[in-house]
Amino acid sequence: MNPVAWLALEQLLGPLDPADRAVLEPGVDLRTYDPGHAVAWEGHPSRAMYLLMQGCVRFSATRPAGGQEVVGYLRPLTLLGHAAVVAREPYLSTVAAVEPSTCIRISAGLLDSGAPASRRVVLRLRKAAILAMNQQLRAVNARLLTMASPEELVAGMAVDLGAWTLPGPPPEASPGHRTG
Amino acid sequence: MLPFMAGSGPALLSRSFPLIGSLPAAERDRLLRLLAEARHVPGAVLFQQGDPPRDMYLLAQGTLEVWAADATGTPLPLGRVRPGEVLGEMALLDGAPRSATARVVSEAVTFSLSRERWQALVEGGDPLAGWLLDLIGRDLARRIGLMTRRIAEVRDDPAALRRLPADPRARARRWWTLFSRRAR
Repeated sequence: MNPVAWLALEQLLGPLDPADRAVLEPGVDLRTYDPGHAVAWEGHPSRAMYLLMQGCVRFSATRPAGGQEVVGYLRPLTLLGHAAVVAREPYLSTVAAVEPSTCIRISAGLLDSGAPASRRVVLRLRKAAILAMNQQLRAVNARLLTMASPEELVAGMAVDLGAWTLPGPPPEASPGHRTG
Repeated sequence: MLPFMAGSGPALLSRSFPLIGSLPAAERDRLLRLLAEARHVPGAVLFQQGDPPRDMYLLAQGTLEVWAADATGTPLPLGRVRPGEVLGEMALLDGAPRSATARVVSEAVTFSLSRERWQALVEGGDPLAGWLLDLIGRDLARRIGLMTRRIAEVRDDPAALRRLPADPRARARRWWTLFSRRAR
């Protein structure tokens, strides 16, 4: 199955016609990650956002006093790296696989495509990124508001940032794009 | 069309949202024609949790406070909105009822875009739709960046380590004070 077909899920871009697919295909591919391997590094230029299809990834960010603090986990069918891509800023955190994980890599360049033929699908891509950010902010807000003690935070802010339900098995990972 | 001059609402808007100032003049004027300017007194409510989604607001001046009821119905403060920030943007995107209540804290000037005008922009493939999504996306990304940095640094913040108040409203206020503070 072509990774673009996954983007046509209702929770993401919705149905894509051949023209939409033609816009997306050059900027989309599948990548697989072994546990401990990074998908994105905090502070590095954000050249892509990723849709986690299988596995689990952990977000961590640098503490002022040094070291890394876990700031959240993502499960399948959630976007990652999209906040940095939308803001055209470096990645906000380091994202690493905690289980064997498969992601669809979506080139940041797709969001900047201003050609009239691309406009509709680019708007849907931007909208998907915004909805994902909103969902993640709400998840963090809900966690903060229900936390009973600061120790829960001090012990590690393991916010499950939520996910949609995976509708079926993901496609076979392309062996040519293993990253680590 | 609103005149684009110093001291006028549009000038306030441009000062608070540098991205608007960077638009080509014709596009900026077109955007301003789509927005409705309004002034609000302290205590006024822009929208209530559960209201149907209607407008997105760009806050050009003043301060707003955002509240949401928890599962028991207790209203909890979620944070403050300041000039240059976007509010109620999900009204344009997900069509869900308002998830929070927005109340004016200090005299405020907003520019709102209605859901109907937004839909016309999207359906017409208007480049302003992409530009507005960029504005909304950057604002959400800023909030996520702030949250990420605060979560990473809060372990080293003595204020976070104090015992949390038992009252959920006081606890929520403590959290949003911590999390709305500028990251170091």
